Amino acid sequence: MDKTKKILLLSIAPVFLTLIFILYIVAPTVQKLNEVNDKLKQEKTSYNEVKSELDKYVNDKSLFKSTQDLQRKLGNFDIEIPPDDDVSILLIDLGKFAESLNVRITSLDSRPESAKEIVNPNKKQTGLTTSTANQTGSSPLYSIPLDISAVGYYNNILNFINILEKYERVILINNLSVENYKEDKDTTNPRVQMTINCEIFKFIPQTSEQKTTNQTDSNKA
Amino acid sequence: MKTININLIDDTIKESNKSRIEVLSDNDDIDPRVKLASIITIASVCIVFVISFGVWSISSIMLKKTDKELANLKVEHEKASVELSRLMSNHKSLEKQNKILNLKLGVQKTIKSSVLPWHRILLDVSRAVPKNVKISEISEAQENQNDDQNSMITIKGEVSSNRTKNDSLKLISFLILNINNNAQPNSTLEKAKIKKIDFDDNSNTYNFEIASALKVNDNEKNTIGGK
Repeated sequence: MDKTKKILLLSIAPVFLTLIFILYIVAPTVQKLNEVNDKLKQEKTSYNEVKSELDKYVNDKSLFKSTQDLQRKLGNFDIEIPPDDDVSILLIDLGKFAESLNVRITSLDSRPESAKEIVNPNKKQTGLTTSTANQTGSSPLYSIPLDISAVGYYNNILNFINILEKYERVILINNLSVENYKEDKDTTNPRVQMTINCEIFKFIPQTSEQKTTNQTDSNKA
Repeated sequence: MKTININLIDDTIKESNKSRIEVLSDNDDIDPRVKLASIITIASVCIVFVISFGVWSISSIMLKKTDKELANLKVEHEKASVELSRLMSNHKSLEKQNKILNLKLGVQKTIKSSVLPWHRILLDVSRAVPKNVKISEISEAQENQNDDQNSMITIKGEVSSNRTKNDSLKLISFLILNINNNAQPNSTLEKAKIKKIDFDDNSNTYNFEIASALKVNDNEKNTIGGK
């Protein structure tokens, strides 16, 4: 081999070596760097989305505040309108009040409960609408009508009604009937017999799942 | 003494000079353009190699750094996702709670808007009722419940007509007058008017029905009974 060829071969050898270095070492590293950079970019975008969502929830205190306000406002709701229709405590208390006011409860008649439609409080409307549970869909408010007959002197009866109005459980009086007590007909200061037509309530909050089930059932029907 | 000058080295020098010249003349056989090309090629390769080595070094360092950053970001992302799901579930339960509370508020307002101050109404009626007039029933007028007007109260009663008929009617009128001219500042009844008067021959009594407007605004209703 002559010297010229030798020199040319020796010159080309580093070229090949450099090419191999570029192709098999440099290029894959750069490619991997690009891939990792892309991944980092995607990860950053998704992280920023999560972070902004997180900030939104952290900074959004309005729901928490409104819930707290409502809880404060409705502190006695479960006593005023309990979730059960148990009237035993009411009866015990009525007996106590009657005894302390010298009033005698002569009868207490409870009628079947019925669902009540909840009226939008922003609309000026008085009175509750009675309807069956089917008509209202699934109203969580139920009314239990009661007729309480009490005998006593008029002032005592007035005080008894005053106590009923202030009672911890809401007693909605609809109608009052008065007549002289038969046994006191001949006396100068007769006692009166008052029939108080009233209603108490129970509230059973429904979960959204139950509502959905009810809606599905009604659709099927 | 005779010196013999024997110069043996000279020949050798001549010989070596001769061979060096030969060698030199042999090197001159390479084309100077080939020489230049090979030098340029090797120099270029060296430059390219140095640059690519630099690129590789920088890329490797950056790759390590980016990998670390990505790993850290993934950890942060994971943490944020867990926190977000926790907050979202809290928010959902809060929304559910809020919905129920709003419903309760609606119920409370609805019921309290229907509550009438019966104790005060009875007091006012008892103050207005003339002697010999018997009240038999006091109720909220059903026909007005859905109107925008104030509630109406219906008062039913009877007057015995043991005296003259005119006296009995007078007593009913007095009841209405007493209700309408109640001097009490917080009286509950106003604008009373007669709805019906019937004479019952059997019992010899006048049965009457009076409708009276209720003077209670919504704010008072909501605070009735201190609730």
